[in-house]
Parts: sequence; structure tokens; C-alpha cells
Amino acid sequence: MKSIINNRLVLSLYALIVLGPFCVLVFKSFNLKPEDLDTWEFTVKQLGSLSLNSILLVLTTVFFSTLMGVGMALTLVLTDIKARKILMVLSILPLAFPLYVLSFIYLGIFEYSGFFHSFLRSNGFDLHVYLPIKSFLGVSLVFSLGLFPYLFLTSSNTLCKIGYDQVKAAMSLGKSRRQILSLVILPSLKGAILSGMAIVSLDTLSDFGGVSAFNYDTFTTSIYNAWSGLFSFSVASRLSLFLLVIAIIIICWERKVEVRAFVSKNCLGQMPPLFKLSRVNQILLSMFCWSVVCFSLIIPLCTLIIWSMETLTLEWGNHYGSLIKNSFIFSLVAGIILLAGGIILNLIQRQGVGNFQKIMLSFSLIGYAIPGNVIAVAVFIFIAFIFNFLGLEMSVGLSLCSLIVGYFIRFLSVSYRNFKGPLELIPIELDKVSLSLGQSGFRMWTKLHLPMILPTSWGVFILLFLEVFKEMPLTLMLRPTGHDTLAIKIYELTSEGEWERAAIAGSCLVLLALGVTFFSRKKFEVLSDA
Amino acid sequence: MKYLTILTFFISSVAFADLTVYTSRKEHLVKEIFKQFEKETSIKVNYRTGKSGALIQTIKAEGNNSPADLFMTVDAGNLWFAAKEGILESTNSKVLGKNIPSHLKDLKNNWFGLSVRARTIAYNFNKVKDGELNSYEDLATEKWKGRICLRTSKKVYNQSLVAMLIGELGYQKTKEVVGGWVKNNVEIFSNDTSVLKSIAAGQCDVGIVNTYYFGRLIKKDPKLPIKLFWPNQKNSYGVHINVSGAGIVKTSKNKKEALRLLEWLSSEKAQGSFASINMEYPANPSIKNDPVVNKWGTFKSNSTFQLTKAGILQKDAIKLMNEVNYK
Repeated sequence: MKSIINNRLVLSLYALIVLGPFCVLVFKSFNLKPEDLDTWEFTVKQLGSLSLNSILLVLTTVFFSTLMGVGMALTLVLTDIKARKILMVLSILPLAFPLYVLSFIYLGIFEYSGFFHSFLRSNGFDLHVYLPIKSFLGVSLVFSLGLFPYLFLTSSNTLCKIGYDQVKAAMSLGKSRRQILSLVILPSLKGAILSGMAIVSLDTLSDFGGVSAFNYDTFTTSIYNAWSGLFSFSVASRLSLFLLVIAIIIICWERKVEVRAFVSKNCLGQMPPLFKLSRVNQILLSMFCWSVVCFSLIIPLCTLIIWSMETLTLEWGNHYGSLIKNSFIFSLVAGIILLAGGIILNLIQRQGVGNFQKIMLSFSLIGYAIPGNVIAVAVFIFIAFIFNFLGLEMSVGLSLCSLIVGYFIRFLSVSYRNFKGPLELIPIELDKVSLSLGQSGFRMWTKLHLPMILPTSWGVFILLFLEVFKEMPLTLMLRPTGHDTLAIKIYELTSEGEWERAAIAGSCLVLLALGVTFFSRKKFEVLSDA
Repeated sequence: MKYLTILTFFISSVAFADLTVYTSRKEHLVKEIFKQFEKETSIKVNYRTGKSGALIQTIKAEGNNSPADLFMTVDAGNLWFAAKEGILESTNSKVLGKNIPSHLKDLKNNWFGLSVRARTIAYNFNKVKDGELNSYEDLATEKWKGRICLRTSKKVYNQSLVAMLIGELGYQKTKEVVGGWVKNNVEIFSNDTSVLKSIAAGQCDVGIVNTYYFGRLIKKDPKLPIKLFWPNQKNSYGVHINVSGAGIVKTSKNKKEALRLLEWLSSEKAQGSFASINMEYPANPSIKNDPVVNKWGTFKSNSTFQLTKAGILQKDAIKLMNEVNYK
């Protein structure tokens, strides 16, 4: 197909930004010093069990997230469940919680010394042994509560776009609800669910803050141990490359899945609910939806607010103004750049890319699976190398640039995936027809592609804004001196065990993120299968 | 005279360059101290907080262009590693030599301890009888089965503690001790505060914590049934101590000012507040403890164990804890 963007040029630029820091990791990982060798041997011995822990955690988190996210999406889009509009908004809001914050809240509530078990014990019930939060199941449930909105968003928006006529046709042919689900709805939803699953998998795989709060050892634990305990950044880099390979496998697998969507202008999202619920089903499904909302949003939010009240006078001060300002500026700048990055990458892919370019494209998306701290160091070493080569000193502006590059590598995948869905809903044949009718490539973009992307853009921007707003390890390492954010404050206080004081920064972060999500809720409704 | 005043003012404001400190100590623990220094010397202090390992990599990557003048962190293991990576410069300062005891600084004067924290035993006084507690080693005996809470082995404070035990008892004996803790069905937590809360709630009876975590929790809730116990006092090596400290960065362009800050931090003026802001013990022995800290009683600390060794033995400590399945 005729190219509008020079694929090779743009992908080379992406490669320079994204692959440069990863070259640092590759270089470091093959440059083991003699004292690193026994660290490597020691670490390798533990990799089997730690990898198994990671795989189990990813699988169960994906399972629970799918159950919650897709279950909620099917219920809220297809049925006449009561308060569906409110539930729609409330199901998106847990996106505001970073996993490490959600983890410390749930530990605070459900540990032996926490409110829940203390209350039960005071009433004669010691159930701690039967309901331990610090267990494999506990970690995966808490992670699922924080990550299910990704699956909810991707699924519900694709569901809304499924053609009403096809579903009606199936109904008039006497197909049962189950058959309609399996023959019409689920095939269209497959791509969206897999995309959501990929995001949840990559997020779980790269998490360190959450698993370390639970003292649940995963593959990332070995990376941090090698670096901070055994003092070997080279071994940590080598281990990160393993994660990178897993990320590439997930991305390739996801891209191989064909999306077969039944799309039409009269879509499900614009029509009255397809299925009317019986009284019993109404009650059961309401209980399911409100339980998810309660555990993912209401309980954590109330806990944060109660903790904040306890230390408000000690912790609150003027400095919170600059923390909030910095959080907003970083998120705004990075959000806009990531938005543009994601659109360009999708358009390049639509133009058709060769095998080598496909590999480069996949590489551009792997940042989401690598722990933020490792990306941060790789980016920093790469940028410092260039600066030293050019004889430049790190100013505030240049430091901000390296931070944005870090965010770009980490979150490009989120931007790319969220634009991929809407574009895939336009058959590629339409592009060919448009070009064969003499339309220029640019006109095809503006008339065909952009109208599909633009309504999604605001939603994607908010999603990216929230990701950067919550981000901690990259910001900690790459931020310009004196430009702390709310996430940094949370890290500083939680790492000193000051949970209640950290709750104030946590509340600010979550409430502001909730505000942004709430006021943009309508825009999320047009987000397609990320 | 007027011109002389203006000249003096001008010199005082421009003669000293701004200092940049890279610190893994958190902002709320250093901000006021640096302000005090700025007020006294007119030298502005910029600081960058972060994780110790990442800051060391940053300084290394920045090379000669690094703006860092002083590197400050917690735990002797991290200070040892910074010195080993060659980012710190040896400093022959009479002031520091006088203010900081030899076991709290690097053998080659690459870094100096500035505050001391003791890693000791905390216990629930409603559940532990007088005379029941004795030493770190004693916690490995049968009588403590199901009664111990510990912080994760991934925290550097426990790695340093086990490194000290290896230094004092040897690898094999330490393995028996730490293995004994684990066999006693130890409950593991991600932080010291959770260990203390679990002791207070009755989940376990004893735990090993840094003293300042105890101080913070008791300040918030004085009624909690927990106390500190000083182990290994009679005919033994004493309580394990560690430091937060700092060293001058080799590539610093303001070494004179950096040394001035380091000396000032070890001085009478700064030591009291530097230690008491986090309820720690001053590294300078001529300074009195904070009254709150004093209430916890006096103890014999392990001053024979050179803290540089904690860094050297840290790898062994991690391997040992892994061998005995201490998570």
C-alpha cells in the first residue's frame, strides 16, 4: 500500500529512543565482572521457583481480572441491571489506584493486626489462619481488583460497537442467549479480551512494589535482589532480558490473534439493553457488580481517607501544592507525546510493514513488561552516555527530557493498544478501495482513519495521564532535582513504614486521579478494544 | 566601611558554590538539617533523593559531569558498595577523625557514619516473662516456636544483621541460628512497623526491629504493650548497630564545601538534630541522646565489629538466608 509516513525513518527514530536504553541492558548483561559470576550462579538456582511464582501469579490475576472485567462488561452493556450507568463509571475508577497503594491498603486492613481481624477477634472469631491476606490468592485478588478495569474498558467498549442488527438477526433465527453469546458476541470480543489480558499480564509481570509489600517472591524480586542486595546491576540487567523475551512472546501471541468483529452503525451501545433480567438474576448480578465496586473502590478509598485524617495536621503543608503541580505537568506532557506516539505507530502498522519492521515495532512495545527501575537506569545510562559524549551537563530541561523518554518507553504499549482496536474495526479493504479511487493517503487518513481515532483520543489520553500520574520508579530516578511528585512522596513515606502519613499523598493521588477519570467518564465510553 | 560591608556580603554570597547531595535518606529526614546548614554558612544545598543502588549507578553514569558533591545513604553495606564502586573520595579530616569513632567509619575514610541505629529485640510485655529473653542466638531455641515475627530477608537491615552474626560467630554457627529462627515458624513482614504491630496485637511475642520504628509507633500510641530488649549484653558482643552516613563524591567540583557540610553534620550543632529527627543515636559520642531515645535505656553496642565488614559479608548473608529458606 502507498505509504504516507516513511516507515523506515519513523521506526528508526522509535528504535533509537526505545532500543538505545535496551542496548545498555544487553551490554551490561554480557559484561559481567568476575565478582558477578557467583551472584549469577546463585541467582540462576532460584529462577525456577521464582518464575513459577510469577507465572502462577500472572495466570490467576488474569483469570480473576477477566472474571471481574469481562463479567461486569457483559452485565452492564447487555442487560437491564439497575444503576448500570453509575456502575459503568464506578468500574473505571479503580484505575486511579497504583498497585503498591492498593497492596498497602489491603495489608493494613486484613493483616492480623489490621482492622478486620482485630474486629473479628474482639468478637470471639479468630479467622486469620483461614483468611490470610499474605498468600498467593491474596496477592492475585488484590492485583485483580486494581487491574480488572483494563479488561472492563476494552471489553465494554467493543461490546458497545457490536452491530445490533446481527444480534437481532440471530435472535429472530431462534438462537438462544447462550448461542448469541458464543456465536456473535464472544468472537467479536476475543481481540479486546486478549488485549486486556496482555496488559494485565505485563503489568503483573513487571510489578515490584505490590509483590514486595506482600513479601511474595517473583521474577522481579530476583532482579531487585541481584541489584540492591548482591550489588550487581549486570546480573539484574541479564535477568531483565528474560522478562523482555517473555514480553515479546506475549505481544507476538496477542498480535497473531485475528479480530473478527461484527460492527455496524446501529451498535449495541446505542440501543436498549439486549437481555431483560429475571428478579433472581437481577439480585445475583447486582451483588456481583456491587461487590467488585466495593472491594476495588469504596473500601480502599474510605481506608485512605480515614488514615489521612489521623495524620493530616502532621503531614499536610504547602509542599503538597508543588507535588500536585509536578504530577500534573509530567503527566500532561508525557500524555500528549505518548498519544502522538501511539497514533503514529498504529498508522505505520496499517500501511503494512516488512518482517524486520515488525520486529522493530514489537520491540517498541516491550517497555510495559520491564520493571520501571530497570528501565530508569537503562535510560539514564544511555542519556548520560550521550551527554558525556557531547560534553553536556544535565540541566532541569534535559533531565525532564530523559524522564519523558522513560515514560515513552514504558507506556507506548498502552497508547498503541488503545488505538489499535478502533483502527482494526475499519476493514483494510476500505483503505485499498479508497486509494484505488484516487484518494491520496493523507485524505484517507483524515477522512477515514482520524474520525475513528479522534473520539477515542481523549479517553486514551486520560488513561496515559493516569499511568504517568501513578508511576513511581521511573519518576524517582529520572525526575529533575527538586521536582518531586505525589508518587515520590508515597514511596518516601511507605519505605520508612509511615503508612498513615503516606495515606495523605495516596489520597491526593487517588482523589485527583478519580476526579480526572470521573470528569472524563463519557470519553471512556468510546474507547475501543485496547 | 559601607563598601567593606557590601564586599563582605558579596563574598559570603558568591564565594561558596551550591552543593548537591544525592541521598537515599528521605526528604523529610534531611530537609530541615540542610536548611540549618544553609542558614549558618550561606551555602545552598540542593538534594536529590532516590534508592541507594540507583543513585550509585547515576553518579557512575554521570561520570565527570556529575553534579553530586556528597553521597548520603543508610546502612554500612550501601556505603561500602559506593566506596567499592569508586565513587567516593578518601577524606583526611581532623574534625571527622575526632568526631566519628573508628568503628562507625570506613577504614580508608571514604565514608563516615552520621547517625546510629540499633537493631534489637522488641517484645510484648504481656506475653514474655522477665528473664526469658537473652540473645539473638537464643531466638533459635525451641521455646520461641511460633512466637517470632521478622522483617523480610530482602531488607538490607537484616542482611547487615546476619553479616554481623557471620562476622562474630562464623558461617556455620550463624546458619544454625538463622535456620533456628525460620524453624520456629517465623512470620515474615515487609517492614518493621508491621512486625511491631503484630507483636502488639499478639500474633507473635518477639521480633527484631530498628529502634526508631519502635519510637515512632510508641509516640503515636503509648499504650501499646511492647518494649525493647537489649540482647547479647553479658559476656557477648552487644547489640547490632548500623549507621546512616555520607562520603564526598570523587568527581565533585566543590570538595571544600562538601567537606564543610560533612564536618558540620558530625559536629555538636548538627548531630543532635540529625539523630533526633529520626529518633536515632548520634554518631558523635560527645553528643547526648534525644530524651525520648534515652528512655529506652542504655546498652552495650557491638563496637568491635567494623561496619565495612557488613558490606563485605552482605553477599554471604543473603546466600545464607536463602539456604535456610528465610524469605
